[in-house]
Amino acid sequence: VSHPLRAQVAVAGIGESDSFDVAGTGLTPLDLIAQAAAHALEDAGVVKDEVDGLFTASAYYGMPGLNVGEHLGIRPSYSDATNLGGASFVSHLLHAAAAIHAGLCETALVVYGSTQRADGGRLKSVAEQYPAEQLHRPRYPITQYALAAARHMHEFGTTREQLAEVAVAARAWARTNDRAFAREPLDIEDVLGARMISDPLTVRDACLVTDGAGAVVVTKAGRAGDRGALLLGAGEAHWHRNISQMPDLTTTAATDSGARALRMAGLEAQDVDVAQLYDAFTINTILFLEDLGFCAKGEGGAFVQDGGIAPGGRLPVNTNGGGLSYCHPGMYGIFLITEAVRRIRAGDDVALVHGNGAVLSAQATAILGSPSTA
Amino acid sequence: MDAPSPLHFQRCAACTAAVHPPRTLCPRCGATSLAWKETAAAGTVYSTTAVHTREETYNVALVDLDEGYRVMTTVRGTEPDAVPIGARVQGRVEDDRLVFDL
Repeated sequence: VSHPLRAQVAVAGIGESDSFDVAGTGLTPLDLIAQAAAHALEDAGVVKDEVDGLFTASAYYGMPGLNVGEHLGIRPSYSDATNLGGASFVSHLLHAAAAIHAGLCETALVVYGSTQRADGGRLKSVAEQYPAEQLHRPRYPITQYALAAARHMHEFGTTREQLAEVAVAARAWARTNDRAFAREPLDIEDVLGARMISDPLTVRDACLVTDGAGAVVVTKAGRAGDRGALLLGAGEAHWHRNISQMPDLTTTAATDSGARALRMAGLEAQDVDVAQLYDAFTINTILFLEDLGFCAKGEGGAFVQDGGIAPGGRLPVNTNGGGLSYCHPGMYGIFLITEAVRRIRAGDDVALVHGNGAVLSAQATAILGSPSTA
Repeated sequence: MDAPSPLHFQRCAACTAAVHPPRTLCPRCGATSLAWKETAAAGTVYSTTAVHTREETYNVALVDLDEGYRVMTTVRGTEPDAVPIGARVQGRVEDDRLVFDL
């Protein structure tokens, strides 16, 4: 029996800010959000006043639904500012599908923007005290990911070269993409020789710091037309907030979110043509390939080796260049979705998007499909 | 809530789970009866990293205490980037923090 939410809604339009570097322009996160929203609405063929569902998250605004609604002149009947960090926007797809299916709204706008780079590059974060960890001065969040990488290397023999493969593959994809922020050549030696931040992760194992905004419009599947990407399934999960509370640093809650999304879609990992996996750090991609079922636990390093996820590899992953080379304005999750929709419009049938939030904490997975997958 | 000292953790009276940092509800079974216990501070390195700044390089590690909970900490007794995962370590209080020696 098909899940009641399967293929009921579609991403009808996508948009991104005009630039990922707005230093000196005076543009605010809300200005970039408005750019992305305008592009997404135009792409969907939807006028602003049709939007009655608003989904957003932010590190800038404590009540971001109110800021975005006011700035865009949207008066939603359904408003959701669920904040699961970078996983938020994939989670919003699931929430939007439920809300539209329940008749609580018809046309949803999922939107995010940040000027993290123009603001000086520090990760914007709401003040949150966790003295049990802060006393020991982890450099948030890279130290937390470094601890996961070190444990994965210890348990499974994963190497720094395999981690570097993830960054090199992302750069190879970025070099095919005019919009990518980082396009200069990058090889494994460059990654290994880059400035060490928190062992075993160098600055090249870490995502970019850019500005930027992204937006998607979600409507009933029938309204989206042939250019819509059907939401075949979605799932979310979280097990911890702080890294010392994560039960096993080599297994994320993506095992749950991915299984839920694939079950709703009636598909298996082997059916996926292209994957967008939130690559805040190189270890993420390896963990998610394992946890989402593309390979067995511990085999993610071998999976990415020898260009496994680069152009021409066994599975196309992060085909815009990802958070490592395309853009990363504080949170990247919305850009997983815009790229997946581009790939479906270009001919792929099944795209998996996987969002990650905080320190491997929140996990959200969605499966998007071409009209033929309905 | 604050623990009486860096050596304190909680033991759930209902399910015996070790709980740290302290709270008013057992995250395993949901019981609200949690008793303070003091750790012997013997543990095993679960994972480790060295944080590099312009000024210094220092260790940040996760250590599994024998009583059954995990803490973020600093391991001493070797270079910050040479702490072996799996090593046995002994904790002590330093500047109101629980740190460990190889």
